[in-house]
Amino acid sequence: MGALLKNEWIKLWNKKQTWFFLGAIVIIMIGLTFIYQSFIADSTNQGEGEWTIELETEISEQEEILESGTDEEWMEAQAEQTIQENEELLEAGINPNEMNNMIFMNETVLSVASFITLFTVIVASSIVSSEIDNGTMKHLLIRPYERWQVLLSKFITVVAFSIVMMVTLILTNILMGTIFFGTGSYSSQVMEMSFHGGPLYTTVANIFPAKIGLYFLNMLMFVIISFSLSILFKSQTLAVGISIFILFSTSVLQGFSLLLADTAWYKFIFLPHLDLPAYAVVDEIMPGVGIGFSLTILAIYAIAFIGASGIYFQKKDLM
Amino acid sequence: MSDTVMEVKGLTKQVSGKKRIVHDASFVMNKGEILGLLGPNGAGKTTTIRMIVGLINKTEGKVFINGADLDKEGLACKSDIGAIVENPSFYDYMSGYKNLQLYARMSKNPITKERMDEVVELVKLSHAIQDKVKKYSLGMKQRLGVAQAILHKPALLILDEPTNGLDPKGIRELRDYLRQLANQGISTLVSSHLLSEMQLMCDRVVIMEKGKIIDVSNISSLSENGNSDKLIVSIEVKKEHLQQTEQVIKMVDGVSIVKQENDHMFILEMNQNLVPTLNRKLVEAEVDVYGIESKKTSLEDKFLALTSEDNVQMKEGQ
Ligand SMILES: Nc1ncnc2c1ncn2[C@@H]1O[C@H](COP(=O)(O)OP(=O)(O)O)[C@@H](O)[C@H]1O
Ligand SMILES: [Mg+2]
Repeated sequence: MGALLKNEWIKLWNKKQTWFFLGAIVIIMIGLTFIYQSFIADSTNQGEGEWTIELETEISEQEEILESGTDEEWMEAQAEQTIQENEELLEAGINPNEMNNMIFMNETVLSVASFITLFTVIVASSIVSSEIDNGTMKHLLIRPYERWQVLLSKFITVVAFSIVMMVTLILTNILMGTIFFGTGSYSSQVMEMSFHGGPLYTTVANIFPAKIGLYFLNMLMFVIISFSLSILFKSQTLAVGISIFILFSTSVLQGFSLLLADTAWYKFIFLPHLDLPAYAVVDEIMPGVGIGFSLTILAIYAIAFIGASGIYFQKKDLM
Repeated sequence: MSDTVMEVKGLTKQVSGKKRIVHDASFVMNKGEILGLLGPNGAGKTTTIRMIVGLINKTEGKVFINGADLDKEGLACKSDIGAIVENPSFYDYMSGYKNLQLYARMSKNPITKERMDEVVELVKLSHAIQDKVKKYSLGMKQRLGVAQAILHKPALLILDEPTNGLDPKGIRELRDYLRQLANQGISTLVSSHLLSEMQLMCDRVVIMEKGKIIDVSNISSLSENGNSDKLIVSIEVKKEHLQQTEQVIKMVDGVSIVKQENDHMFILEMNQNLVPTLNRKLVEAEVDVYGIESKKTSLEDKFLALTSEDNVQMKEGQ
């Protein structure tokens, strides 16, 4: 089994594609830093205490709008929201414009991580199908190993590759963040917005590990789905295509979650649960659906996918 | 210790549509023997090999490697086998040497660097072994295929059409080192659709046609003046009497139909002394016989008789 793992790892890193993916993560992260910096450059580096004045000024501006009265309802609503947010920020003592490498990391890592998911899904769906496609699988399966061992070694390799990309991303991120925004405390205070609920005031130390951990589990689920499905296909192109389709359609379909949340069966399919990072901020993604429930549902699907594809591969005729 | 390296019993593969692409194949391989698996394209050679190496499931039948049942001691059996199945495929983004290292690592007994070099030398790839496989010709891939198959010194070597893509010199070298391996006690099952190659390379051949093993012949006894008393008989009858003819043939013990040709001919295999009996039976059954022709069996005749139809089809298809 050790030999199989080592072989898979060697094969992976002998492919140009692998290095391309890793390089792309680094370059995208660097690019994002520049874009980010150009947007916030003007509002950083204020003097001590200036930010409170700025927030208070904004509050009084909005209050004037409310007093003078407008015809537009949305303007009123927005003014009220801004006032509330600013008051909460003042109360929590969070400078919304403060920036350092830790806050930068907390805000940007996950947006680049979507590329890691994409690349990992591509590797996961091609690592078996490519070998069936180009005929090398038969050389593996005539060796004295069980077929499930071959599969397992490939699966572990994919997961290990995703971890390498994650670590590379975080290291690049910290490096860029430090160069551009200086060092900051790991317990810097931050505000988290969420699709499912209001803003949450917390620290990087509290939220970042949860976000990354949940993101990783979410990605693992995509890996399991694409890896399992790819075993059914002889063609690498088809396997990769279908996996990427599933990856993208998942987020599109999740847009309909609000419409479907009331139906009894919706929470039992895996789709709405493939949004685990949301749990870093909220307790429930749908009424009555918490992290325990989501993880249970995903685990059941994961076992079903792995079991079905494993049994299929174990018995498959390799023509 | 037994001298049998492999025993194949009643091997059958049925694919969807109830089609049997290998039907009841049985043969035995002895230690140090080079056994040919000869048959035209589509005969079922590769399918037979795939079942032996466990790439596809057997529908029926048993395979024993060094006495061990493939179904029960699969891993032990696989340890004893080295194989090329159909076209040799490699990771073409890696060098030949790196490819070999992968396979060396998968062996149950460790393979030294000296052994690697020895094998590379044997298949005459030393000059190109550090090049990416992408750059290899088919012949070079075949050599690399042989290298990965013999790396772990298997007791049984299985080579599916290893001469594909090899030039005459390469074929000759292959022949030489298979003989060398045989002298060391390693047995080789080698498939081919070319009789001339098999005759030079093998000790015995198993002839396969349409999924069935139709003959097992000893090469030396089948040389031109072989003393086999089996005959290949072609018999030409009136079209309308074809079915009756078949019934009659089946009634005579010791006569087997090799194949039916066109719509008025049968190619049979039988003892010489049965020819008059068959003739008499056909007359009794009122079959109009236009001709009976017979000749001594030689491997060549038999094989050509078997494949002539395919040749005709191929030419028509072009
Ligand atoms: N999966 C399959 N389903 C149906 N028929 C098949 C399958 N694989 C092979 N065959 C058929 O079985 C026959 C034997 O094929 P094969 O063993 O590759 O022959 P050979 O190696 O002797 O040329 C061929 O006619 C081929 O078309
Ligand atoms: Mg073949």
